[in-house]
Amino acid sequence: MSKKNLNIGEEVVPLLVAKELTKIFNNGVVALDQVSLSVQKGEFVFLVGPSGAGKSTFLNLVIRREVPTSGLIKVNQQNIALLKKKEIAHLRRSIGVIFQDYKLLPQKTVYENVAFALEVIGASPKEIRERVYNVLELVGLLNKAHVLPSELSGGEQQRVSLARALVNRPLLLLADEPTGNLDPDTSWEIMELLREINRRGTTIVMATHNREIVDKMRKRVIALDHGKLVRDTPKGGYHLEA
Amino acid sequence: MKLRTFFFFLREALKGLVRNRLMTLTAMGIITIGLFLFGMFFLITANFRYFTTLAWEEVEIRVFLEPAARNPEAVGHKLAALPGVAKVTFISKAEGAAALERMLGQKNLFLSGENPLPDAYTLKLTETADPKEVTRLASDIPGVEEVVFGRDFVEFLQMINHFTLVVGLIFLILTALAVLYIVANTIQLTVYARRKEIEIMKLVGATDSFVRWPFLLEGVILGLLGAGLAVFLLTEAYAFLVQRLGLYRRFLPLRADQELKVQLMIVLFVMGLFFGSFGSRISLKRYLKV
Repeated sequence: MSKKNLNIGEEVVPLLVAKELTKIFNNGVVALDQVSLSVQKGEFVFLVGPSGAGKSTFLNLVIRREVPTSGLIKVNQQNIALLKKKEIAHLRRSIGVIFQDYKLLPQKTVYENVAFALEVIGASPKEIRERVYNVLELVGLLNKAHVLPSELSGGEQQRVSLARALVNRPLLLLADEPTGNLDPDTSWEIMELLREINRRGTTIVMATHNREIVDKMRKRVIALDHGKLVRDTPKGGYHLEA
Repeated sequence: MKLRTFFFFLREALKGLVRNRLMTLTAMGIITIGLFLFGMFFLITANFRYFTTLAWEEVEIRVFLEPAARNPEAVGHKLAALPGVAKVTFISKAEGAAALERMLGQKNLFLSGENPLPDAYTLKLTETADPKEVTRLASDIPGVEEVVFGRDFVEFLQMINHFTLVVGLIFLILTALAVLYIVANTIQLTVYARRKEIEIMKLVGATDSFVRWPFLLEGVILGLLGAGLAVFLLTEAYAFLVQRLGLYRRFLPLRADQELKVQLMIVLFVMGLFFGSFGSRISLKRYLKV
């Protein structure tokens, strides 16, 4: 996937586009219902809504863990639903993902967990070393590089997960409830990091329940409810202000 | 594939085997047991075939010549040229009489002093020969009066031969399938234990083949180790058996040649390799859908 040519003439092409995106699971549950939205490069977007609103399904459609039932989803102008197996792997290399449960490999050290994302794409050992140490410095874990995840706090584990997501220099970072398991102070540390990463140019879409964070950050808020897009506010709060 | 990538896969495979020691030992044990059973059937079948081959070597067809046959050698050449004939031995009427006297333990068998026996040939057959066909063709040769062979015994042997071949093959195939099933399931357990790892690999952009290779190598290593152990146990047990049954060799001859051992090794190693790699391939399929 090309990282260049995002601008065609004067018109700015969105990084992420969904048009009438619908996902109905085999058991009949409508997870997303005709959702249309677009996210520009460099944006920071909160995806909010109660459990079951369709936030995770939306993120899963972006990384092609799920296929839409109908409608269109495009990342960097590529129709995700039409990708072949190999192309899916390449798509995922341009999208970093962090999860509520971190998804770290328990038997690998912090360094190895981050390096893993580069080994998978066949980077050279020199490149791996450089990039891993750089990104560990960014998330402030240089001194814990050779420690196992089980010896880290929740916030530190999430930072490892973030480092792994960033080490491939993704265009887009998806965060699925990244502060869901963290206490408020630690949550803010992660948010500060995300803000810094966004400031450096990475587009971020973050699904969250955390009202305080959404209200304080004053970023674009997209609200989902029962699979429908019910609100899209620039610099909004968790709830619609009266 | 780059050599560096291959070594990365090999390192990951070895790490995987060491990290999941218990699973590794279980899988290896099960492959060993499966291949041991398969090898056992293989040896039983090989020995059954050997018994029937030995018995077949005892089969002979007797061709009696007409008393007036003028040129017994010419008949002999024609007999040797028949399809399925391995060896032709001439027995002159004098030799025939001597043999008969020896058999009956009586001298001067023929009171008249005249030997009524005709000249004869005995034919040994090749393993694939059809004795009935040989008999028919031999009867048509001029100068031949009568052809005799132990029809019942030959038919019995042919039946046994077919039976061991078919039953042996069925048993071998069934055992192979059972072993494959067990091995695939065992490897599936090792894969299941590491489904999270596979999911993460896929999420950070690993291609299916990238995920598959270390598991495939693990399967191959497991298969080969299991085969090695099975070969060791089987050859030791078989050697013990051959030694113990040495006394009864006349009644229960066992193959103890090097060729059989080599065949056994090749078959088990190839099967170990195949089961290990195929087993991990089919086990992985489900978990690659991330």
